[in-house]
Amino acid sequence: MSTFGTQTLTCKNLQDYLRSLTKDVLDRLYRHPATCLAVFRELPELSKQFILRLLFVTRPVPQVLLATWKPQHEPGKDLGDIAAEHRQGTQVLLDMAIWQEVNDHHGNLAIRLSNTFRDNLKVAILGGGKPWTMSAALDSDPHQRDVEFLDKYAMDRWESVLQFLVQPGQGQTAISRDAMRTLLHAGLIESSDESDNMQITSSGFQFLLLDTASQVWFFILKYLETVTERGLSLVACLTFLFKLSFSILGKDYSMEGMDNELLTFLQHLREFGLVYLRKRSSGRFYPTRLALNITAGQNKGNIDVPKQGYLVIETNYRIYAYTVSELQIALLSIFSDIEGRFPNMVVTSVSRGSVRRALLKGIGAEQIISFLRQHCHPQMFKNNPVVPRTVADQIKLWELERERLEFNEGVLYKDFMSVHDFSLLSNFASSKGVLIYSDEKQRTMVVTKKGHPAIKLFWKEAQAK
Amino acid sequence: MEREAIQEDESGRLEPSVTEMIQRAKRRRLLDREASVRLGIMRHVYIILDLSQAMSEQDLKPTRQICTLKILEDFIQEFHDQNPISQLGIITTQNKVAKRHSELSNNPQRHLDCIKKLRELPARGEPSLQNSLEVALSSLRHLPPHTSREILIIFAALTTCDPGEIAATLQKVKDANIRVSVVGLAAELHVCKEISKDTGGSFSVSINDLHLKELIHEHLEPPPASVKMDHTLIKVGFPHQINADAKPALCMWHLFPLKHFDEIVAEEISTKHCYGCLKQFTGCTADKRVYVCRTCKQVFCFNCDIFLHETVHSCPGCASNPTISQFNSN
Amino acid sequence: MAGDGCLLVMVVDLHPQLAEQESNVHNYLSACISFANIHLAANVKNTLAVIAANHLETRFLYPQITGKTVDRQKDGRLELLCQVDESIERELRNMIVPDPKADQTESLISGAIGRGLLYIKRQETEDVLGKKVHARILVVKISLDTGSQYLNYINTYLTAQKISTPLDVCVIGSDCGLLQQGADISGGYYHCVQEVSELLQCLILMYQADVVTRKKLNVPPPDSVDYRAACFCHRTLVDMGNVCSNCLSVYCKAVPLCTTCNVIFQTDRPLMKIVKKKK
Repeated sequence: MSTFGTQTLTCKNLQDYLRSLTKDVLDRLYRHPATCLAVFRELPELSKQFILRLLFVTRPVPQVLLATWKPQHEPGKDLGDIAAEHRQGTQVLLDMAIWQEVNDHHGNLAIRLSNTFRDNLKVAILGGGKPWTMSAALDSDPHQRDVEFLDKYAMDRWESVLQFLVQPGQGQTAISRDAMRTLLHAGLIESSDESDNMQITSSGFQFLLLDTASQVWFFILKYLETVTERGLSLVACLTFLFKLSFSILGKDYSMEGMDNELLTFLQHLREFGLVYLRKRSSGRFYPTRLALNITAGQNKGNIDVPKQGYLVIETNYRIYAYTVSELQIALLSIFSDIEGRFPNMVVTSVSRGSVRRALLKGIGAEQIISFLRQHCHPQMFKNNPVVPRTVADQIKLWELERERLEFNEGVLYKDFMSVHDFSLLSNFASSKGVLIYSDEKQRTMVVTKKGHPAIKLFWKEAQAK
Repeated sequence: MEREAIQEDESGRLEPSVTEMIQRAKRRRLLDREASVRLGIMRHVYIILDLSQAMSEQDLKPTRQICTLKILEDFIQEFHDQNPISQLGIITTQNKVAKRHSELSNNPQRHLDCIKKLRELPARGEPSLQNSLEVALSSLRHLPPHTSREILIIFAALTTCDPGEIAATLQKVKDANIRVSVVGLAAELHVCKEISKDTGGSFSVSINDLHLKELIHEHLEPPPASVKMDHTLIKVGFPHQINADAKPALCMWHLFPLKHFDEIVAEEISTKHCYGCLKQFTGCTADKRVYVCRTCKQVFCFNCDIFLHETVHSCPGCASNPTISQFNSN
Repeated sequence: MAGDGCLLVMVVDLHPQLAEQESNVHNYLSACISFANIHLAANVKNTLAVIAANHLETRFLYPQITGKTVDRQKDGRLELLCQVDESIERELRNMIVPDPKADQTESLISGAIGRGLLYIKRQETEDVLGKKVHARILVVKISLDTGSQYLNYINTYLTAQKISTPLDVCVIGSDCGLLQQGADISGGYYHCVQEVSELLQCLILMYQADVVTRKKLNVPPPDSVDYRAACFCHRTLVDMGNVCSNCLSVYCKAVPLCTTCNVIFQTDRPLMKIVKKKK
């Protein structure tokens, strides 16, 4: 069955992503304040403290000294977890080449904060250095855009990508080839045959149920994997992305000093709705909310999402969705059945059948529940838990239900001539640990595929005797 | 809240008028607490708890006894938080006798343990007001004259079974300068009303559990000091340092309560934001009225006004004014 | 908790005695601003409020009621920080005024802490989901303490304790017993540095971590906290004092009449000796 190949969609956070890059790329990345700050911000709390403590220390610090940063031992307090956290915090910094292991002048093992990283982080936080490229002076824009406009623009753009995912057959023209290429690369859609017909994959369904911030981050990560093919430099693109993520919403930035590569990149970002560009020749662009703090991924939470939740979920498994958006309705219908449509509201119900339909597509119960939670109406947030417990538990139970059957490939042995033959073989199989099933009355048994040759050999030898 | 009291505003919405009512109710509670009287701070309070048959009634859920004991648990905690140099004791009365369950002490844990034991005690028989007053009297009588002596009776029965004339005991109580307050669970009793009237205490009857809690918690605040109370200087040692476990109990605000702020319509003044929290006055219902400190003339929003009077007890406006803060301290 | 961000309320002392040495002013201000920057940069959701206090007034420096925005980046600093820094630094400079009579005055720190508490309280009530706002207050103090704001201080400490907001204190120069009590009561850190030049390093080392992370790092050895009260007549700390039975005013010697509540003390009785019980 096709469903047994589905994988859960994993979305790397910035840290994991950077750790997968080579030291050389990292080193080049740290040459700009924006990247240093973005990296710093997403580190574990302890690692942040470690960096800050060494921010003004230029000499290598012996490792013995680092050990004293752990809390003093107190009776009745278990420091095991804390020590592990310290180790982890240190390891992250070493992996990302922010800390370097060196020998100090006594020859002892010591730690030094990477100079490039230190200098640029200092610039980002404390000032100094040159302004970032996109901050060149601009006259006031005659076509000034406000935050409201940008939000609407960004959401429209992004929803058109999602809309395409939901119904790849239609509206293909709505999204650019670059976006489609990225979707294909990410495995969110696949072309079913030689024709242009696209089909959403199980990863695609899982992607749809993520929150917007995670979607954008996942999408951009996949896009970045393809930038080198497109003839763009990864470091330049990442640096620009980080700069963008620190910009201020509703403000225009200059395109001055950007080379052709970056202009292409900017053009792509425009297609995904991360920046607004009225005309290429206008020389200015507006970052949208999608681009802001992009690196924070899931941690971004609600602060940056302007739209309000629209779902009211009742304990009787009914969902009232106050929306007119076709996309939202399509998303809901992935795991629930639509019962009625009204001018401003849709009523759907969650049932075993509807949830199983979603589960078959590779969507997990946890993903459905988190989707419900994200889009809950503000009124629902007064409840604890936000999603009624009966509904959440039941969805999980429906998922567990599917795991009652375990599938194993095996080889069937039957039609034994005597009980003796049967027990001889089944005893041997169980002693080898390859027996899956045996029934003495029927004289049938199943062994694993791996165990089959050994059993066959044993049987032949037994026959020969 | 009465139904007629809620009015629709011009746009036909109820919410603004409800907001206003809630605000007014909160403020009224503050204003009731007029602060010019001298308070008794070193308090010695006996709680006399009726544990007669009447306490097993189920009009309070699950029973009067359990409900009252639950409220007392909170009360004891709060009492010691807010009255760090005061002492509490517990007396119960049932089967026509009174028993002291917990001596006067300022250790909340002791009283909480006592309350726990009382939960197991079946409520039975008749109470005796006279006996329980005598028990309380025997211990309160010997306290130094500069302390405030109080008795809080929580009474559920409609009768009292006394060995003698209660008027004689009442006289003794009055002579000992003890203030007796009664909270009734059932109905108003003449004798209870008399006792509290004669001794300067309060008398009230609860209508439900929430009301009962409110009535009992009213006794958290120190009562006005009796005129007959003496004043002395007490020698007190102050620690240079204390061990880390024992956090000092500090509570000063009863002594210098914060004066009430004046309520003003927001449109009449030029200030457009709250001095404390920087909230902008937008003209919505919650901001219609603002509050001005009489001393430093700074303007505060409604929430800050309540928070300052209920929790902080000093005005940051006055504390930010060199002249006032100097003057206040001298 | 780390993901939720934290509201830091900085109370900065700008007493005129600071202005006596220009190099100090520079170091002091840049340490405070740098610390604020690090806080804002460390997490997207971190927020900041800065309240300054000198001997004449207290003032909110950030957030500003009228938001003036800086046009463009002037250096490589994060754009948001440019805006914050500019407004803070301008105002800080404005509030440092030399005053010849400043020696007898003290900064109105308690008023600033009070306003900070109200600000925190407001963020809490305005939170849509009614979540607890993780907030802490940091007091940076340089001036001497005259004890004249004793009551205001104690009230703010108790409030901080009640809304579980730690009050961190970093003093420069000589120890301040009163503020040390505040840090102790509310669960914050107290530290005293000798020189302005050490300020930034000390702030980063001790006060940058949020409350949860602090538990995972080494802490400075706990100082013993001086819990002596200041007497109401001479404002000196007393070991053994006389306390009015009516209003608890503390006097360093026996007086016939309480100046706070105007009661006359009975002197014919022997004075009772009570040792103030703890716990």
